[in-house]
Amino acid sequence: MSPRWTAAAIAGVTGAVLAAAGCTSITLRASEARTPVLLGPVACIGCAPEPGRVAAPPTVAGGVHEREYVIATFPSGALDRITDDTVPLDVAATTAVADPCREDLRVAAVHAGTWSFHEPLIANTWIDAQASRAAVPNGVCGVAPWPSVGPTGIDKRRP
Amino acid sequence: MKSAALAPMAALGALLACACGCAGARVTVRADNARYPVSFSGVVRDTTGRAHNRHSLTKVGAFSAHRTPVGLAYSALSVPSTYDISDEINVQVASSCGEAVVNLAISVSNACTVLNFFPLLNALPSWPGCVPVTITGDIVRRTDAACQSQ
Repeated sequence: MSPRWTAAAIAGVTGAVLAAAGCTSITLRASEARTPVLLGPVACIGCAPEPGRVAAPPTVAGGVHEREYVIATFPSGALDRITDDTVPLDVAATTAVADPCREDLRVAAVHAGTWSFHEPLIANTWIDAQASRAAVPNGVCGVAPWPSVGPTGIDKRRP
Repeated sequence: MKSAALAPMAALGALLACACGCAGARVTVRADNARYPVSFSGVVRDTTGRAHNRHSLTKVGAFSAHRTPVGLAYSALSVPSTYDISDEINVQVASSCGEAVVNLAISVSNACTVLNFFPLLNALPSWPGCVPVTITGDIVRRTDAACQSQ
């Protein structure tokens, strides 16, 4: 195998992988949850930060995972297969919180990362969040309708 | 003769390097010093405990923050390992005369694929990987609240 052919093969495989990978992204959100899902030390509008607040152990987990397997078929291109392992944070929140009027969720940590591996060619990308329930003794729901509908709390009609 | 004998070893080494190549990065997102409430959902409370949603909140700005931590040693070590968005929150919410950030969303794109997938060289522990993190949200104020700084 000549060095020139080897270099061409590597370039071809790399090109195939990059073409298969595209320009996608994954996103963690909880915009349809019916309760505050808080990140940081401030619990409410006008509240003072509580940096020393000891949070309960996380009991709610949500995340977005995407794993892409790529089989290079040089020189014609690449076959790829994408698997998703997603637990929407808003669904997890709606399921975990029994009374959204008197409970919040406090996000303890959000971890994100990506790595790629050769042989087999794998691109792994993830965002994970862990949260704990926090009681709000004086909590009340607003008079306006909640943004969520349906048994899961997720409004499917919104884009 | 010696170089001819070493050629298969070099080829095997290259093959193993290609086979074992692995690069990436990881990061923890925090907001430990934020002075405003930050919510992944569209709901946030006031001091009375009343929950406000999109019907009683007005969007006054868009929050955005972006960072690309670099990873080394097969993503075991990332710099920075923690991305604290507190400064961005405090500055952007104050400049928009907002009271909170809602609908927070954290995205990771595959814009680092070139680096993470780079053949042969990504087998080296010193070869960098990266993870592009973008954080967005809506800066809001209660509909019936006046801007304090105006």
